[in-house]
Amino acid sequence: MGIRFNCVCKRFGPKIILNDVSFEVSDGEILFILGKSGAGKSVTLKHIVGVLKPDSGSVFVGDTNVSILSDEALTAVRRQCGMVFQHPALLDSLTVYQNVSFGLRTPQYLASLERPLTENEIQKIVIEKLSLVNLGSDVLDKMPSALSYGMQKRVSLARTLAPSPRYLLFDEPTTGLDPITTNAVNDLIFELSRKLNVTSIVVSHDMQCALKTADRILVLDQAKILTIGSVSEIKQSNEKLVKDFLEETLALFLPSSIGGHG
Amino acid sequence: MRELIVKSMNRFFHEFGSICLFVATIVKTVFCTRGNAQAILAQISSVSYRSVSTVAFAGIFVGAILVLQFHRILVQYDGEIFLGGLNTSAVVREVGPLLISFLLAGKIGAFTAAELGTMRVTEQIDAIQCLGTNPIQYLIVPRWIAIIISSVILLVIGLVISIGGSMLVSNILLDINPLQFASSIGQFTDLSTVASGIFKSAVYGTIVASVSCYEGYTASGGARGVGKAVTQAAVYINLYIIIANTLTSNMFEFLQDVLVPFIKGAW
Amino acid sequence: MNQPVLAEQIHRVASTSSLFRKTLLKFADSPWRWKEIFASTSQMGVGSLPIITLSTAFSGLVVTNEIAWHMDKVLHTVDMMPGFTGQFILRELGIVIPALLLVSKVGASTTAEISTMKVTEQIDALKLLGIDPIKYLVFPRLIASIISTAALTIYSVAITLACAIAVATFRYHFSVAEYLNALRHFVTFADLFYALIKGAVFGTVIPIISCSYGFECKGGAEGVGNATTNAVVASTIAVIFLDFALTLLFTYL
Repeated sequence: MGIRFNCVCKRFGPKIILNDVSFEVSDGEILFILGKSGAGKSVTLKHIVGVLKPDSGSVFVGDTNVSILSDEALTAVRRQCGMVFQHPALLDSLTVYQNVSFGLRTPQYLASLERPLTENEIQKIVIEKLSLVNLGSDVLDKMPSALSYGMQKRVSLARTLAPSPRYLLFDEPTTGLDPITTNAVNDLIFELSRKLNVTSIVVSHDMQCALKTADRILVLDQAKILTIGSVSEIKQSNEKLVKDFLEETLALFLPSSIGGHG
Repeated sequence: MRELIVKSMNRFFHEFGSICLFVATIVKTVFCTRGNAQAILAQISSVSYRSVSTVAFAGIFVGAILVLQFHRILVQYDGEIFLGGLNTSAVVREVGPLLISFLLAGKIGAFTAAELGTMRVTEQIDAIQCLGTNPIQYLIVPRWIAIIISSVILLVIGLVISIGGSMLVSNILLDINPLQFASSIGQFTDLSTVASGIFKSAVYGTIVASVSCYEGYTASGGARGVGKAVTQAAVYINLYIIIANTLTSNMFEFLQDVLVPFIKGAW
Repeated sequence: MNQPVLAEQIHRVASTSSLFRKTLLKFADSPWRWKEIFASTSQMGVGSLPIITLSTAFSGLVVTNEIAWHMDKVLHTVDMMPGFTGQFILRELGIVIPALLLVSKVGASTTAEISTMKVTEQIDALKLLGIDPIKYLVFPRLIASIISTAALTIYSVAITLACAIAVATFRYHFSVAEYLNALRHFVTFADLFYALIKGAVFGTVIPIISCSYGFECKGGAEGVGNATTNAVVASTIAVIFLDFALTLLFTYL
């Protein structure tokens, strides 16, 4: 099943963003999409939840072709997809508790249950998801503006996890986070996919995280797929851009040896 | 020069068409989904509470300006006895709704555009959509309805205060006592004056609501985008209000003078 | 109004007047950046022409109809309409309508621009480069706004009058000569001068308030939105209040 892109093309005005992109992600897999800024990474994600529609080609989530669905039909698909945005995107008029429980109160989530959730059950889920991202129940009644940027991002992640989505889409989840939280988020992505068979697609600049966490890596360049393959395949790739990305990572790991060459 | 005119005409009609489509979507959502009366009431009270002191302040001065101007002109015709009536009628029918709604364009229109624009550029609206909630239903509809209702409330409050302000100023500065001021009001105004004032308020309120929601909802591009949305909302609200003012200015008299005799004749 | 709100308003007025004082000091600070001032003037003036033309033309139309209707209702004659509308347009309507439009057109975009510069730390960058943001950003806008608002005020008085005359001619069967005669009877050269002064005063307060709110902006996109909104409201109130004060002043002059 999973998620499948079939010859997707997309342009904004004269600018081509995606040019004949096809790939497949199977259930429980973690795919990292790497590429330079403006390579079309975020646009790829937005196609999956149907916020953007392809000019040609089709996008399948499970068995459903989301590129031809109406907005009403899309809500059922979106219910299965959890999207984590680049910014925290918390609703700033609501408390942390209301933010995290937002997705648990939508009609189509309630329709997928046998009976409506009681307030106690909602609270239990909220606290459980917050603890997954290392936040205690003391933040529940705070407003988003009272939290640090890193905490807001973690609350945002908890909000996405609350309705237990089958597919998780991350738009640069670790940008702007400190190294320790970055590791925690990567571990969380890994655990979710192994324990709950959640499919994850992660858009990132961070080759280091990708090498550690990903099952497969896809590199986008100039609107096309440059290469796609497992971690070991990527490491042996001859493409210049991939090598640049890898060297950047090596420089982080082994600063002294690079310096020695110079 | 010709290029400037063609360009601004193009932009004007493009913008106007998009706003109409947006309002059509809102209206469709209003009728197709269950309304949330509580959210609407909360919005009404927050919008009205935020703006009422500003509207009152502006109302007093609008009344005062008009009284001074009209008095100066009427003295030349020895028509001071008409001051109260002319001033009240002008405030209620025409200048009051116009000037006060310019203030609402900033106080409510720009505020809403800024609020929604911020939610758009910080991806909050996308987040709502991805969590499976229709942002038009959740964010726009309560605001749209609330802004229309509270605009009417605020404009009516503003008009009443303007008339009070006129009386006060004419008493203090021009030495006309309030009874004298009120004596000619009946000559100028009747029920249609009040109806016209309220109708105009509702039309202007709809303009404020629709344009500000549209500009905020379609904002893009970070802090700069929010600034642009707010500016555009303020400019377009003012422009549309002036156009609507022209279209509705003599409508009630037209209805009274043409339609009523016509119906009577047909009867 | 509760105390924190009142305190904030007082703080706003204080910071705006301090910015005004600092900007006034730049008058002595030569050389003036004429190129910048001209560019700004043409951007504010020419950029606002379409919307000002359209809206003042409409307001001329409406005011003529309204006043004629009132006269007809109470006096059963419209004979006095030209003198009445002419004075009202020259002293009030032709001045305050464009001023309120410029608040949203010029004022809001100034605040949006400056507050965006503030939140993206461009203003701090200017200071670090040793450039005075008041001289560089505020002063040219002030001069440009005074020039363009005064010019636009005269322009819109002319457009409003032209439209009023057109309506009077076509709908109420006055001749143009009759209208102008009545106008000459009541309107003096001083009225035009007062209009110019009102325009210049509005042209002064709008950019100062807008820039002041822009400099005070905090936070990201949200801050820009709030600053712009507050600036529009404050400028509108200031225009209405100053219009009253000046009208009062001119009445007793």
